[in-house]
Amino acid sequence: MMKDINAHIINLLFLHPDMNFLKGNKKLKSVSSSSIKDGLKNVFDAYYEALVLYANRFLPAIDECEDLVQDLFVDLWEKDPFFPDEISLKIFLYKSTRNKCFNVIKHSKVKDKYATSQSINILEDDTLFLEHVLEEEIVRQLHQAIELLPDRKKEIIKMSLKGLKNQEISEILNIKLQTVKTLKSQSYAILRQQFQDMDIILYFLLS
Amino acid sequence: MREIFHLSTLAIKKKLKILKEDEKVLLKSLRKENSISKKTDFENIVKKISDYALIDKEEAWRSIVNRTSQQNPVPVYESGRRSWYKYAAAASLVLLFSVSYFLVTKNNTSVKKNEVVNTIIEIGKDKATLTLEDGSVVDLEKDSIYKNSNASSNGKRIVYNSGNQFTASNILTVPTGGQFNVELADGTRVWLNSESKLKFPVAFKDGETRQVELIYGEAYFQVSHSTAHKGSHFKVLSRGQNVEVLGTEFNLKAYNDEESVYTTLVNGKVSLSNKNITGKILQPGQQSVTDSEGNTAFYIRQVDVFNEVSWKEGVFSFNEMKLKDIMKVLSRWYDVKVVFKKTENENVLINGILDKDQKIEEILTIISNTNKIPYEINQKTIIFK
Repeated sequence: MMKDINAHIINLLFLHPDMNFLKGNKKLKSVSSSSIKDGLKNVFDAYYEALVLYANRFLPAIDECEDLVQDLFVDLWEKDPFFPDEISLKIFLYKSTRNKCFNVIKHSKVKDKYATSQSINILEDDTLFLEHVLEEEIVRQLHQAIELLPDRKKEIIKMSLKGLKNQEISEILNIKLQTVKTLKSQSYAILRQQFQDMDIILYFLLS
Repeated sequence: MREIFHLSTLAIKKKLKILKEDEKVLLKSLRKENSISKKTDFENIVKKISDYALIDKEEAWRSIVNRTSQQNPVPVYESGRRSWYKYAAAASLVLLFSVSYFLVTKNNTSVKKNEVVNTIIEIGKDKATLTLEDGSVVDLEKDSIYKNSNASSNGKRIVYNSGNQFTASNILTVPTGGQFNVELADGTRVWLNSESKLKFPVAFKDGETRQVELIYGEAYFQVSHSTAHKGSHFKVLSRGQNVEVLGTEFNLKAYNDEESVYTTLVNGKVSLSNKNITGKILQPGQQSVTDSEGNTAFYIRQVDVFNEVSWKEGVFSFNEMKLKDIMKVLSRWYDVKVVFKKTENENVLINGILDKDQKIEEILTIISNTNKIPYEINQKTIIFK
């Protein structure tokens, strides 16, 4: 049953053109600039970390992941492919990252054959791929939404995500405890509004 | 992490209002269960968000810019090869670096005729080859008459007889620098643009789906209505998709060297399908874009139909189109290759209506004068300097 739901949702998420997964992404819709560089910068800003962390699932060295994703952007620049919408762009980015990881693992002379074959199995599994992408997308879009918060609110949310208590935050930032509470609840309101039904996640994350 | 995935899928379903009763219950119970184990479940997400801070993005971007500016490739665009790419043409509204100029070539006196020199580049014309059911190939060309038992051609157009019984298929191939027109046995008319190939049966059976295939290229279909054929639908197969119609006019562009397939509806109603989607309806004035593999959704947008179908009226009409895309169209009609020495010139935006029966030098002179992009012709290659 789990699998059915996944397939169905993934279809909707990735194939439905009118589906605006999250509101925070509207900016990217205007990616199209007559200069490739501007468009690429927007895509880079939105996806770079997510792709690096996605690669990091398979390749333990973060430097290697960064190099690999940078390669991907250099490719994008040179080949300048056409994407009818953001969904195809998204699929392209994650798939290319997956392929690059695959190549790295295949060509590496790692002694641990078992680990290699494990990684390859995971990489080749399409259901897992979509699960991973969805997870990365949740993280990415949450991060994006947090980044869009006003400075003070952003600071408080980030500290709270790190596990700091309201009291500790108020001491570090040298503001009243009540102010921390107010700012925090205002931030949640903003995030919730942005994520609508994703609030379940936020509920667990931020409560 | 599996939990969060499951939860979020249910949440998305709820948003889409497709949550079933049993799933509602599941969602509720999951919420409950998770409130106990929330710490462990969500640590990973929290960790990942803080991991974002560890990545030096500015440094990464600098490194990408360095690498791309060092290479500075000079792409060669030639027909028939997969070297043609478009970027974000879908909603190209940002015209920051664009130069737009309306080219009215017919009455434009600024064309310096003396710059037009005779070269080996010819203007495209009516021509095609017809592959018959027995595999034999016939050249169809202007001023040459051809006739067989199923069809007759005046060199501009080939018409299949309505009384045909034979149900084998013929193939009409239009080369680079060509165009042709065919009237199928059911009365449907098809205009074929340069570099296109259409496969069709010499006769259709009323009551059965009338099926043709645009193997590659661009075609404009004026489909004879299904009511005249005992309700049988008309179906066009192409790269990545198929189009089913009742009776209508539409343009289908599915070139081998382009990554997208474009369907533009002029009149009536068509239904699009690919591997993943069936029955996506287009309205008149709408264009759908999908990838040639048929993997992505049909991206629907409103377009100026005239720009899309003008080629069959003997003109090319461009509205805010990138120079490289314009040259792609022209390279098919004039059978030339195009090279841009400076990549920034590829994206200069141009408006204009061009007559298909003028020499390419006249067009190039206008583009060159108005946008200050010098060009040179070497054999059959146009080089923008």
